[in-house]
Amino acid sequence: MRSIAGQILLWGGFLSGALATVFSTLLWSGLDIHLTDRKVETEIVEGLDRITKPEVHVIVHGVRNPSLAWEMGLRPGDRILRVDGRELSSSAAVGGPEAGKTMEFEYQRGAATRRVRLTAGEPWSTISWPWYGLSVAASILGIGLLRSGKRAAARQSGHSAASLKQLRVHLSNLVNNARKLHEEHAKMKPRETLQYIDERLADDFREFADGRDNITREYGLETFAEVMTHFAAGERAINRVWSASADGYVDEASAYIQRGLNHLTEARRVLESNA
Amino acid sequence: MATGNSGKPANDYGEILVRHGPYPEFTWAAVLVGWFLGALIAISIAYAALKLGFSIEGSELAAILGWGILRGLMRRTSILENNINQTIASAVNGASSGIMFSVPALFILSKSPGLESVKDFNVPLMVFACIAGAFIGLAFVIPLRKQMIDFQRLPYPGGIAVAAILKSPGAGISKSVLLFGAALVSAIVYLFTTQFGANDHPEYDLGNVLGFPGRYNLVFFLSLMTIGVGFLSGKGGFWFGAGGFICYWFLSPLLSLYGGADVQHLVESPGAMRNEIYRPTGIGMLIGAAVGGMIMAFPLIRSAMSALRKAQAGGGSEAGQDEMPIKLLAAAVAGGAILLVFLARQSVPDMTFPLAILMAVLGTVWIWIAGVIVAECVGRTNWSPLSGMTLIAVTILIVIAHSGLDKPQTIVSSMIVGAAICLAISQASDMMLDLKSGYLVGAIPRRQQIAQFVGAWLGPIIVIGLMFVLERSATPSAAEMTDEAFVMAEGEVPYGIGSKELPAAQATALASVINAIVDGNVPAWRYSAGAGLGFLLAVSGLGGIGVMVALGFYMPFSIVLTYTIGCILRMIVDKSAGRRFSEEIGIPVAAGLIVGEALLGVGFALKNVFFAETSGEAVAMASGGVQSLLNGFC
Repeated sequence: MRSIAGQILLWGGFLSGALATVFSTLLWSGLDIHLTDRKVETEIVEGLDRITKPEVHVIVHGVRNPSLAWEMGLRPGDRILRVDGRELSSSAAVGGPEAGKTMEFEYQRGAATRRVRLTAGEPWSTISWPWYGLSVAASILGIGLLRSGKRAAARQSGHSAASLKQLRVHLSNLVNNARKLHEEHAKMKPRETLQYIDERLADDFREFADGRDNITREYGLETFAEVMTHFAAGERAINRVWSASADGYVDEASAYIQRGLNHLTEARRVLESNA
Repeated sequence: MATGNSGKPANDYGEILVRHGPYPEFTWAAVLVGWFLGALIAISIAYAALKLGFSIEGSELAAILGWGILRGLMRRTSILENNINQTIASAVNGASSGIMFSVPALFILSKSPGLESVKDFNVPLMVFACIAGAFIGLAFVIPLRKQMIDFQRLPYPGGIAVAAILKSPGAGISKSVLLFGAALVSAIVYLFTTQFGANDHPEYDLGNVLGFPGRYNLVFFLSLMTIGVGFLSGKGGFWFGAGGFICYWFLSPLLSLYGGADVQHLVESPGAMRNEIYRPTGIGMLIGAAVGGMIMAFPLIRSAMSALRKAQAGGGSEAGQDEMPIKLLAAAVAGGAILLVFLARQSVPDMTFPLAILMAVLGTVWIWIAGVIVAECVGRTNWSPLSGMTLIAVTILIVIAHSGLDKPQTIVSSMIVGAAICLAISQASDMMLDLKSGYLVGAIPRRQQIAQFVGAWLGPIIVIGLMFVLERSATPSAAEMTDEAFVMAEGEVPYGIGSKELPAAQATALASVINAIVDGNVPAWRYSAGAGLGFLLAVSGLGGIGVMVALGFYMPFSIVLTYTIGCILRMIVDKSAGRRFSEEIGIPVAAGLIVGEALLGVGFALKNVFFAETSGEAVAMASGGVQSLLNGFC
């Protein structure tokens, strides 16, 4: 129950916080307007041909209300033609002017062309921080519930213990099969070694790795680190046996079977010593 | 183990010649072929990055070509030797993405009034900074191998694909057929979609066909490689998709209902929504998630370090000898940081010592944070948010430098330290990906780590040299510039890097961002709010979702959608046919899908280098699809 409430609060808070972040949406410059580029295809006559030419129009997307820009008549949808007499190739050319800088905008609305002089103020945040703060608080509460719910569930279910038993089985299989490989390797052809690894070891490696988090839950991180250090070294050694066998290097394969066996045995010893 | 072959007849593996003696791994042949292939791939991809605006990693190509050269021509017989070759080659190539995103911005900015002097930066210092940055990045990320690969077992889909190539000589005929068959299909589909598609970015607008409003952005990226990456990530990739769906299927529809008129208008342009809102929010979330993730993972990192120290203590056990010594790496970081102070101090005449120390220290800290972010993103999804991380680095550096320097000197000093950071991040993600391949083929990590250092120094020399050659070759003489025909439209870069000839799309974008940052126009609030949200998810205890959801905000939704197809396919196959089937059949096929498209992308880049006059347009068309994929510049 606590876990479900925690999930709802965590994700509700996160989504609400994301909404608070994007709802105000636009990064307003100190000019209190937001510009964007719109790609358009303009049809022009060149000689006897009518061809389409791609153009970028700089469009006013937003105007803060109230603001000087709003009072001076700029509205969303207006197309900016020139700034300080220069034609614009993109909205980036306006950039974010420093506070106090005055710029003259020539803009088009319908067929009419107008001019307006704007002085930049300090850029400001449009994010609703109180809303955002409440959302974050809800998420933090959700995380607390989620964690305590998980701890309680782990205590009650005994799931980790059962999974650990299964882990021990996989690790024992690995040790026993690696030992058998070690004993019989001298009589095996390289391709038989490959087949043995793929058929007798691969599944147990995968299953043990999939259930490894149970070690942390039951015995803590130190034990987990020690077991996984040896397990991974053992798996890597067996992977090397595979590569060496595929290339026919039997001495290398033999040496690394021994090494892999040592690591897997040590991983099992550490796991058993905590049982 | 990445693969298994249950039930297969023994003869599928073929007869294998028995050999005795040491198994070749770190050999001169691997080093020389790695340098050669790395230089070839770095030149190709760096040129493509300037010309076409994309950059890709070259591990797959290096592995395939290495296979051909080492096995075919030189009669070498070692999977692990080829692994060292591809590690070195991809380390050399790491410079192409790191440098081409950052340094050309100086050439572009130098063509603006008042900033002419920025192109006169100290070139040897820049090369040195890039090499130092690469080494610091490696020293920071190498100790994380144990945590990310041994403990967390992040999938690194690109690493799995490279391992599949490396292992193909011994994997048996059926797996090789699956791998190379899928690669062929992927290459054909990629060729078809890029050559016959309506635009440079092969996409399918299903939303338009179904009559969905534009805000839902139901556009699929036509790329089998993306499906392959999603398949290899499996259900672990779920939260990446969730991030994209939250943006375009939850937030955008709500904004279209309740937002202001301007917002409602913007929502119908998903590309603009991404650039204006979701991407900056996603960058902030990535940072917050990384910081939160590091706090949460601190006990695990401490345990990993402790296990490593224990293994290396007193001469070290076998496992301890497999890793580079922690003390050596710590010394490399400290030495690199001191070197960065020196480089920052020398970067421009007016740089003060305290300012240089501040830039170097913050730069070093950022390398660590960004290295962790990128290594985890690549590990979970194969995509690296390199451009976002570089953006933050440059922003921090400019804000610091501008407090004591004029505009041109601010830009030059920030870009020299920034390029070092960019290289560091690029090398960090490449190293982790290679270490994953190495794990799967049984390579010794220490040898691969040394191989990465052996390759990392060469890339900056080659790529910066290439950049100057291209800048000069595309710059007209003084007489040509006074010619009446030499008339440029306002706002266009007239010649060299940044001009129509060499558009350098990524560096051009960075140049405009640098201008905006110097003018104080940074979406800082959105970064901050995003960071808070990312932090929350990271500390929620739901492992790794912070970075994944953040990356979903950050990436184009078309890629997220196609990637999600791969994730869903994997879940269906796992459930219906079993995980063994997924690993036996699914993984070789998915790896093949990645390999085919990546190879063709690099192939087009190579073609562009050697036949630039005739093929540039074709390459531009054909390579667009790769643009957003393996590059990380999305």
